[in-house]
Amino acid sequence: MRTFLARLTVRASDWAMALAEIGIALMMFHVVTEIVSRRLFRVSLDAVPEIVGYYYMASVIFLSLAYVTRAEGHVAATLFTDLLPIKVQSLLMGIVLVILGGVMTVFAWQMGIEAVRMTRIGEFHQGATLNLPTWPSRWFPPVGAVLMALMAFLMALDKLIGQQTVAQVATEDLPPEQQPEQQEEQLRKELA
Amino acid sequence: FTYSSWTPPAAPNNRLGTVPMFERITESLAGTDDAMTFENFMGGQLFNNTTTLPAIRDGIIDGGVLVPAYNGAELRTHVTLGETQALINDGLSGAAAATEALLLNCPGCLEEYAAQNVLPLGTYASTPYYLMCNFEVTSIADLQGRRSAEGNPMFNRWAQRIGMSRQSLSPPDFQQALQRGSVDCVFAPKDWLVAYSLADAVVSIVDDVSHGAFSAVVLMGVNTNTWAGMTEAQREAFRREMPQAIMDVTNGYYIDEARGMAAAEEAGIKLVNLGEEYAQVWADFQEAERAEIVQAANGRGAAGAEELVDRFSELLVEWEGIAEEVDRDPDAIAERMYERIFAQLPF
Amino acid sequence: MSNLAIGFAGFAAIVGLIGLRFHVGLALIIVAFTGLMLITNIDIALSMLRVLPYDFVTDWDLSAVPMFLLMGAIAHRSGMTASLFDVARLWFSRMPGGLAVATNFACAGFSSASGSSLATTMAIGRITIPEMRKYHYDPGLAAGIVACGGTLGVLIPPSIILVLYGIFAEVSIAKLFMAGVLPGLLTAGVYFGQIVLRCWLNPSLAPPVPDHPSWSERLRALRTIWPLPLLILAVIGGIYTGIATPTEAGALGAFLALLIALAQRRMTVRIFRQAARESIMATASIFFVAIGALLLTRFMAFSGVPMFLAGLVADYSVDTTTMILITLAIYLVLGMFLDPLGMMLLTLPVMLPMFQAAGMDLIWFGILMVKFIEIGLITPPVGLNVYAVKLLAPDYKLQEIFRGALWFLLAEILIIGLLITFPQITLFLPSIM
Ligand code: NA
Ligand code: NA
Repeated sequence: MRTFLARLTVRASDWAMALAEIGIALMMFHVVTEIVSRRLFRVSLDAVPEIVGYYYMASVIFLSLAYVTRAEGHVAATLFTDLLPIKVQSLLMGIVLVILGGVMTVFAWQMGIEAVRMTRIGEFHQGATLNLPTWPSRWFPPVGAVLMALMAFLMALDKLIGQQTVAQVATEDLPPEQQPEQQEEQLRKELA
Repeated sequence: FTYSSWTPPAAPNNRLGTVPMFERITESLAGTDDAMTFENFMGGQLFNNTTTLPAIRDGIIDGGVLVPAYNGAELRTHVTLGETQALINDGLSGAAAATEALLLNCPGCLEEYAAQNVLPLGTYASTPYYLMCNFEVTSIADLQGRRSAEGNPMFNRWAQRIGMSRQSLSPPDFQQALQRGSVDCVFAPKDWLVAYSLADAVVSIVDDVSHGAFSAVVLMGVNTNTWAGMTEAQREAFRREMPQAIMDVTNGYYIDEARGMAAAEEAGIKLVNLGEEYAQVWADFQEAERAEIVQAANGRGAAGAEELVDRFSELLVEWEGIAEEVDRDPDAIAERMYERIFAQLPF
Repeated sequence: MSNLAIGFAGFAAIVGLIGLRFHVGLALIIVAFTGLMLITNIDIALSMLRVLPYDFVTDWDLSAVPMFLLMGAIAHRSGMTASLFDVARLWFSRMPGGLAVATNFACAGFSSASGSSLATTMAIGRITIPEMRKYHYDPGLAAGIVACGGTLGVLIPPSIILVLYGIFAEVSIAKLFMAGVLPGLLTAGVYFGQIVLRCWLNPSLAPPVPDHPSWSERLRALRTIWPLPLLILAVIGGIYTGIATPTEAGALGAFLALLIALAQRRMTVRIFRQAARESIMATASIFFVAIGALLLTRFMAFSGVPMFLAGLVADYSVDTTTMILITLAIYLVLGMFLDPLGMMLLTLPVMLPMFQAAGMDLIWFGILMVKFIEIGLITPPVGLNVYAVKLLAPDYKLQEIFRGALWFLLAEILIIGLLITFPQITLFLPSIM
C-alpha cells in the first residue's frame, strides 16, 4: 500500500514537473515573440506580463515543489547536524519532513479555499483588449502544495522506518556538478 | 485601526490624506469613550494593489486604499466608473462626482464591495493625464507609428486612434523605457514628472489637450465588521473627515502637478500645443468612449453600465458647476460633499 | 510578551530551527506564522497564506530569475562554457585567481544590464561555478565571489532597488543611477584587489598557472569561447538599445543561448529538458525561501521591530557620522534575517524623514543604504545570494559559502568607509549631469 502510494506520488511529481518544463519553455518563447512582434511589426501582444506571471511562473514554481522535495533540493544548513550520529540525523530529518508535510497541508488547504473562491467569481485580468481569465492559475498552488505535502510525509516515513519507497531523482536531471564524472563524459560523447 | 496603502509615504494620498485625517480623528475623539488610535502601514509594507482587497476582506487590516481595476472580477461594476477617465476634465469635480456615484447611485458597486466584506468611503482623483514624449512633438502626424506606454484600456484605444503602438508598462518603468527608447511616449499626470522621475527623460509635453483624470481610487475601504463594531461617534468622525481628506488628496495632486511643471521647466522640457486638429480628434474620441465603456462593462458582465455612465455624466456636470461656484476651493467643495453625500449615507 | 519581544524571539527561533536542519524556507514560514498568530490571531495568520504567496510568485518582474538561470544552464550544458577556464588561464596567466577575477568583472558587466542581485548571481554563477570547481578553486572563494559579485547588480545601474528608493524619497532616478556608478566600480575594484592579494598570498585557493602562453594560443582559445561573451553582450545590448526591458532580457538571453546551441548542433530535446528542469528546481527552491522571507516581513511589520530599531537612530545620534554608523549597525542586524526589499519598505518611512531633517543628501544616503541592505544578502543565517549559490553548487557546504563571503564583507567595510569619508565618490557624477 505504502509502496504503491509512493510510486503514485513519484509519478505525479514527474508529471507536474513536466508541466513546469512546458511552462518555462512557453515563458521564453512567449516573451521573445512579444519582443519580436513589437519590434518588427509594432504590434504588442496583449497581457504578456500577466500570462507570464499567472500561468508560467505559477506553474514553474508550484508544480515543481514536490519534485524539488524529492530531490532534496531545498536549502538547508547541515553545520550542526553533521556532528550527530547517522541514526539521530535520520530521525531528525524524519521529524522535519513530517512538519514540512504538515505546513504544506495547511498551505494547500488555505490556497484551495482561495482557488475555489476565485473560480466561483471567475477571476480575470483586464488587459488592453481582452479579459484574461486568471482563476485557473489559482489551482497551481493547492495542487503543488498537496503533492509536496504527500511527498514529504512519504519521505518522512522512509527516514523514520529506514526503508526506501520514494524513488530517488535520476542524477542526470540534477545540475552536472552532482553527476558522476563519467556521466558528463557520456554526455560529451553523445554530443560529438 | 490598521490601515494599509502601497504608495510611498510621501504620496499625497498618505501625506495629505490618511495621515492628517487619522490625526484629526484621533484628536477629535481623544479623551472620550470613542477614542481611536491608528496604525498606518504605508509604501506596500503589508499589501500591494491586488492583495489589499482580500486583506481587508479577511480582516488582516481594518482599512486600505483600493483601485477596482486591480480586482476587476470582484469589483466589475465599480471598474466601470474607473473607465470613465476620458470624460473627466478636472480632478476636483471628478472626485466628488465619482464619490457620489459610488455611494449613492451605484447599489451594484456597494453590493460587490459588501460581498468582499468591504465598505468603500469615497474615491479621490488624479490630475489630468498628458502625452509626454522623449522627442519634440510638433504635430499629430509626428505620433504616427510611435510607441506608447500605458496602464489602462482607454489609452490603448486612444493610442490606436492616433496611430501609435502600445506597450503596457507600470509607472516605475516609464522613465527607463523613455530613456532607452523602448517607448517614445507615455500618458501620465504631470506630478509623475517628479514622483516617477519622468522629467529625466521627457523632451516635450503636449500641453493643450489633457486626457482625463482617473477618479476611482478608493481612499478608504473599511472592513464591514470593523465598521459595525465602531461607535456611532466614530463612524460620524469618518463621515465628517472623508470629504475633507478626498479633497486634500486631490488638491494635493494639483500642488504636485505644479511641482512637476517646475521640474519640467528646470529640465528644459518643451510644452507644445498641437492645436485644433488634435483637440478635435480627442473630443470625438471622448464621445465614442461612452459606448466603449458600456460595451466593456457588458463584456465583464457588469450590470446597469449605461445608466451608471449616464448618471455619472450628469453628476459630473453638476459638480463642475459647484466647483466653479466656490472658485475651486477644496475646503468648500468638501463641505458641499458632506452635505450632499456623506450626511445622506444610510450606513 | 510585548509585540517587540515576540519579534526578537522570532529572530532567535529562526537561528534555532535552521540549526536543527529545518529547510530555511520552512523555518521562516513556521516562525512568521507563529509570530503573526501570537501578535494577531490564527485567522489573520492563515489569511496571509491565502493572500501572499500566490501574489508573490505570479510577479512578472521575478520571471527574470528562471529565465537567466535557463540561459546559464543552456550555455553550460551545450558546452559553451567548457573552455572558459582555458581562456581565463591563458589570458590572465600572470594573475592569481584568474577565473575568480573574470567572474568578478563578469558580474560587474552583467550588473550593468540586470537590475537585480539575485539574477546577476544566478546567471553568472551558473556559468562560472562549474568551471571553477573543475579546476579546484577553493569553494569559499568560488562561491563568495559569485554571491557577492551579484550585489554589484543593485549599485551599477539599472537597479530595481534604486528605482524604488527614488520613488520613495522623491529624488531623481537618473541621478541615483549616476551616483551608483563610481561606488559600483569601486566595489568591483576592491573585490578584484582582494581576490588577487589572497590568491597571491595563498596559492592553494586557486591553482597557479606557470606557463606563459603565446598570443596565438590565446587567440585560439577564444575561438571556442566566443559565443559566451557574445551572448552576454547581446543581453546587455538588448537592454541598452531598448529592445527588451531588463525583465524581458532574461527570456531573450535564454532564447539566444538556445539558438547558438542549435547552430552549433549541441542541443537535443533531452539536453533542453534537463536545462529547463535544473532551472525550475533552483527557481522553486529559492522562491520557497523567498515566500518564507515575505511572510517574515509581514510578521516584522506587525511586531514593530524594524521601526523600533530605525527609531534608535534618532535617539543615539550626536552627529551625521554616528547617525550613519548606527544606521549601518541596524541594517546589519536586520539584514541577517530580512530580504533587502522588505527591509527597505519597513525602515524607510522612519529613516527618510530623519535623514532629511539632518540635512543629508538623499542621493548619497540612498547609495549608502543600498550598500547596507545588500550586505544582508551575504550574511548568515538568512542570505538569499548565498542560498542561490548553494543551489548552483549543492556540494558546497553552506558554512563554506558564508565563510567565503566573509572576506568580501571585510572588503565592504573598507568600501563603506571610503564612501562615508568621501561623499564625492557618490556625488561627483550626478553633480556634473
Ligand atoms: Na544593475
Ligand atoms: Na542575511
